[in-house]
Amino acid sequence: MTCKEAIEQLHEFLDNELGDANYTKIRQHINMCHECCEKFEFEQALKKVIREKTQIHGAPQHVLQSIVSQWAELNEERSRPKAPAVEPKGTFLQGILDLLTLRPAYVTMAVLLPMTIIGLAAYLAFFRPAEYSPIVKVAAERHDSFVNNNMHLDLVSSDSNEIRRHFQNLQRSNLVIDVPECNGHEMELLGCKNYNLDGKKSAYVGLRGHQNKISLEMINGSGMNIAKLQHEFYKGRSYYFGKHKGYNVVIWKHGNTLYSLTSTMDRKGLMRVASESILSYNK
Amino acid sequence: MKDFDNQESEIKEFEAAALEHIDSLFNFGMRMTGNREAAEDLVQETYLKVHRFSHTFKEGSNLKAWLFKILRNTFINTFRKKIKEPKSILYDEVEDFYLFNKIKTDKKEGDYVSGEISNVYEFLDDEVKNAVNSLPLAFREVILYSDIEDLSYGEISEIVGCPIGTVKSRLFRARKLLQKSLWNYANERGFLKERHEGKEI
Repeated sequence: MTCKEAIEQLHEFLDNELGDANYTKIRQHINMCHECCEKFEFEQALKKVIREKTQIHGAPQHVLQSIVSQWAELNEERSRPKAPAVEPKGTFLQGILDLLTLRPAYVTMAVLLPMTIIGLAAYLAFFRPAEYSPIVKVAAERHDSFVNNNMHLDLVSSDSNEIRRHFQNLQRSNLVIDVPECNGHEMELLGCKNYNLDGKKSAYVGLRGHQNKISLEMINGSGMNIAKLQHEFYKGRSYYFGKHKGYNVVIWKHGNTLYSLTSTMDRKGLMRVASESILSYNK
Repeated sequence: MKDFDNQESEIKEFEAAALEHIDSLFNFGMRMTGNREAAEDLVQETYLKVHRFSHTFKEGSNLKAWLFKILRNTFINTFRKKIKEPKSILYDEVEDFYLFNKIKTDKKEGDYVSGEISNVYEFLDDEVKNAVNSLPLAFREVILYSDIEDLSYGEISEIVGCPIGTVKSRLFRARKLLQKSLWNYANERGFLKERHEGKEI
C-alpha cells in the first residue's frame, strides 16, 4: 500500500467504515510509515478533541421530567375508555356554544365569502361576457341604423377602388383605411362614411353579402390601449366574437386599427367572411 | 390480558430506550441552535413526536438514528432553517491536512511542548467549540453525527436523507473547514503560545 492509498482512506479508517482486510492493510502501512502515522494520529486526535470539547452537560433534569410526565398523560389518554355519550340536553347546549366559538372553519368562511363576492364583482365589472362589451354594442347599433336606412352614406358604390379613393380624399389623419377586396365571394360594396367617434377616427363601410348585409368598421385605435384590449378581450386569440341585438360581431386588430364586422349572419358564416375576404387581406 | 401486559411492557421498554439518548439529542440541539432554551424546547418537542410516531419505528432498526431524524426534522420545521450544501468557495481552497501543515510550517522553537504534534490539542478548548459552532449547518451536523455521536455513514445518510457518497464528501469538507477555522481561532487569540508560556512558568 502506498501513502497515497492510505491517505485516501484516512477518514473511512478513522470513522470505522473500513472492512477488516482494508483496515489491517492500513494499520500495517501506518506502522511502517512515520509520515503517515503522524498524519493519522493528528487527525484521530482532532476527532477525539472535537468529541471532548463539544460535549456539554446532559439535558437538564426538568426537561427529562416534563417529557416523562407528558408521556404518562398521553399514555393514560390512550388507554382510557371512550367517554360515555353526553345527555341530549347537554349536546344541544354544547351545540349552541359551539356555534359561538371562533373556530377555524368560521374564520375561513368569513374570509372566503367577501373574497368570493369581490372576485365576482370584479369579474362582472372587468371581464363581462361578450354580449355586454361596449365595442360590440356600438358596432351592432351602427349596423342596425345602416340596415334600417337611417344612415346616410357619403358614397354609395360597388367599386372598391372608388371607395378607397373616397377615403383617401376624406381622410386627413393618419387613420389606416383600406377597403377589403371581397374576392368574388358574392359580396358587394355599398358605400362608406367617415366618422369622428369620441375623438377617435372611425370609418364605416357597408357591404352586401349574398343574403345578409354586412358592416365593416375601422377605428383608429391609437387612443385605446390596444395591448390591454388584446390581453383582456381577445384572451390570446386573434379575434373576438360578440353578440348584441341579434347581430353577430367579429372584432380584430391590425396594426393600430381595430376592425369590426357585423351582420345577422351566423357566427360561422361571419367568421368565414372575415377570414377569407378580410382577415386574409390584412396578412 | 396477558397480551395487554406484554404490550405495555414493550412500550415501557421503548420509552426507556428512547430516553437514554436525551443527552445526545440535547447536545445536538445546543450545537445547532446555540441557545439553551431553544435546545430544551427542541428536545421536548422531539420527544412528543417520538411518542406520537412510536408505532412507525421499525423494530430492530437503529433507534438513535431514528431519534436524530425526528430531531432534525423538528429543528428544520421550528426554525424554518434550510440545511443545504454550502457554497464550494468556502472549502475549495482549503488543502488537505490544513491544520497539520500549518502547525508544522509555522512551528517556532518553544511554541509547543516537545513530542508529538498532536499534543497541540491540549492547548485548545473554547476554540474547538467556536470552530464547530461557526460551521455551516450542513457541515456542522455531519461532524456532530460522526465525531460526537459515532454514527456510521449509513446511519447519517438515513438521517439527512442523502446518499452515502454525499455524506462522505460533506464530512471531509466539513473537517477541512473545521481545521481552517480552528487554526484561525487559535491564531487570533494567540492562545497556543500564551497557554504554553503559562504552562512553562
